[in-house]
Amino acid sequence: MHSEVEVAQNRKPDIGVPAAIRSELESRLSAGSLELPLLPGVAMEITSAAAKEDADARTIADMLKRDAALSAHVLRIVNSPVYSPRAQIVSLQQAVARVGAVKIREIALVIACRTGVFKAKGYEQEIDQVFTHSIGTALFAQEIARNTRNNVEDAFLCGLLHDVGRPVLLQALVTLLREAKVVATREAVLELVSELHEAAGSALARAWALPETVIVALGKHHTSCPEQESTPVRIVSLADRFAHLTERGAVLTSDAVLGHPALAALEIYPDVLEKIVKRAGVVKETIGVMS
Amino acid sequence: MRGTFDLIVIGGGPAGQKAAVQGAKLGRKVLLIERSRSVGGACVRFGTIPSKTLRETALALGKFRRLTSHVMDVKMPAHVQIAGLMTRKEEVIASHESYMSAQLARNGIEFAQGVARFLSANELEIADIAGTKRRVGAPFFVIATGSSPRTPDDVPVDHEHILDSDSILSVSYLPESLTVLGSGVIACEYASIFAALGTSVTIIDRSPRPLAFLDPEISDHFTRQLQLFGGRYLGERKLVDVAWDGLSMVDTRLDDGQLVRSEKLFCALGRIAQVQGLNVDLAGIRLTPRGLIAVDEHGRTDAAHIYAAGDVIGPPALASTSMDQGRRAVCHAFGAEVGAAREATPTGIYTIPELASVGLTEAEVKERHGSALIGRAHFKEVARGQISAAEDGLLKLVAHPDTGVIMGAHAAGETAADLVHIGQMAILGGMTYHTFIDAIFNFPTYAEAYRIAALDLFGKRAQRIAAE
Repeated sequence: MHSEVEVAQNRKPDIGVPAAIRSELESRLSAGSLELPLLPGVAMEITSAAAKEDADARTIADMLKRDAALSAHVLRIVNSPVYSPRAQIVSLQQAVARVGAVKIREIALVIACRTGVFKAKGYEQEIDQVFTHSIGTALFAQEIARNTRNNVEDAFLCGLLHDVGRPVLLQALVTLLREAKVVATREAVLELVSELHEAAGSALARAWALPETVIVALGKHHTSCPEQESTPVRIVSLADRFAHLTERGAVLTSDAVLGHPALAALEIYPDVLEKIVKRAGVVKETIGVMS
Repeated sequence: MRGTFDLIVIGGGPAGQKAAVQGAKLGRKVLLIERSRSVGGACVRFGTIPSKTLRETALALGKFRRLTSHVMDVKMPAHVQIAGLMTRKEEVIASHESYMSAQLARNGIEFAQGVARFLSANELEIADIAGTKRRVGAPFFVIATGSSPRTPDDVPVDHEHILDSDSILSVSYLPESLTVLGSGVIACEYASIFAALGTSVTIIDRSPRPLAFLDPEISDHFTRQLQLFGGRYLGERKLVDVAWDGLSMVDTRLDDGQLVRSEKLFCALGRIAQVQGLNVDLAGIRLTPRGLIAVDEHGRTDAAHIYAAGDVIGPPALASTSMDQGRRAVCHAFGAEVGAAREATPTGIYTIPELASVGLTEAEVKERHGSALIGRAHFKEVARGQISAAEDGLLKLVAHPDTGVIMGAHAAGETAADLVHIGQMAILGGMTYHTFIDAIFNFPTYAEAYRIAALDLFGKRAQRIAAE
């Protein structure tokens, strides 16, 4: 949720997080032994089922029925203006059949992530902000992909999950500090999280068996050289910037993003940039529906 | 910064690239302006190279199935990732771009990335991505800015569910069903590639048959193969309404009351010249009512020192003809000798099966000369076709009814686009069908089809003479 502009990536926290805890966190991350949260049972089952070639609407609808809260959220979202259905969706099977298994997986992921997957006492507000920011990034990523003739669905998913490493780290760090009986400053905790969140996000995406494009986008979206990265990385990098600017409440203008390295990497000229900027209002409205 | 050149070429696709190289070969100082960071144009990024890479996968899969069907069962998983079927695309593009960039460098051509607009008939402004501007001038210009997909007002292209030829290959997964609007080259190429990969394809168009400019026997061949893949062609239909249902399917309503539902829709209803923002009016250039740049036989626009070539001037809009137009325009500008424009321009269509044509069709020869001599060779009669399990092919020769001079060659099937070049040489050389009867061809080759078709033609002619 803090952009690369706000947090210098190589800066070590001055106070707060002891070097031993920082080192432990880094070594767990590099060794792949960081405790990663599991998706709640139903969301996990849906994610695996949606990936199978013979996934059918009835099976997925039956899975959804076992989680009343998730079912209610799915019905609310598929009936929202975002999907603008011609007829009201009244049953879960109808929802899955019409939205498709892949889209249901995305919805289940968003809902699951927002409703208790990540627990870091004292940082609930930060976790909530991460997901509001992620929805904004996903929607901007979609618009960028549309205007540069890249894959819209991939861009959305990468944007949606790009910062998932932050709550993963917050949870791990808060646990480590508690176990060591150390009280770190809020600023120092968030700074360390910001520094390591790309690697943690990428590790989580791998553990959740998400597509390789997502794993890479999560791991590199703060790159200073988008030119050398894949298209989804470039898109998320730019969408992240758009989302931050929108959150600050300012009216989004082309000038605010001019000079961003992803513009050149994606070959976005001022005329195309203007088209994306014009969608900011719709994006804001949609964030309200999905948050 | 202001720069002066002998020739400025706007657009780095096939036409612009050849124009620039020709200018440099004539010893001129050339600037090539291109929106993308490297030359190649839509052909490299959205057109020929990506689609043909996917096509090769579909062809290889089909061939593997035909050759091993008795021992192996190859099934395509549902929703397979498109990217996984075109893993070589980036390599092919990189290799092509590197080759072309080296060619520009070798010829001393200056390259500028940016968008150009005319400030006057002799001066251009180039703006790069960051908006930095630069003025350049030259006594001659070639506009080769290409084309972009035409989107009718009633087709809401969103590049996610309803796609055009710039976005069709950006889909993640192979769709289970695809509706294709249009029956031209681009529509049919993609339709057949997706159908061969297992997508249920429906082509919809006003024309009674697809690829209507081809000899009907060749386009019928395409339709039959599409049906074998499980696809269908709905001709003589008008579009009433296209809409994404907001959730998962695209609904296409037709004037006969039919509703076609598909996971994705591909709109391929023609292309429009890319002249937006170029300020051609400031240079005194007129557009045709269809929005194309009007040119004379030398490629000159209304401003005599400004030429145009490639898709921006309209049909045939093939990479091969565009290259020739670019080269000829520059030769004319600098007074260099250039041969007469060739009438026998071949057309290669990379559908599955491959289709190709050169010269006149049977109907055109009959219209001009009252009748025509026709000879056919089916690939099942050609040893190479039998060996390669590619027996479903056809070569059709069309000759003058009295002299037997070859006037057209039309082919469908493996290597068709290569095969018609033999017919092209026969047309250019004014040869008769006897040449093919007397010539010795390598065995086994598809070229043998020429001899078989010529013998067929000879036999029919002998029967007709005997009957008379």
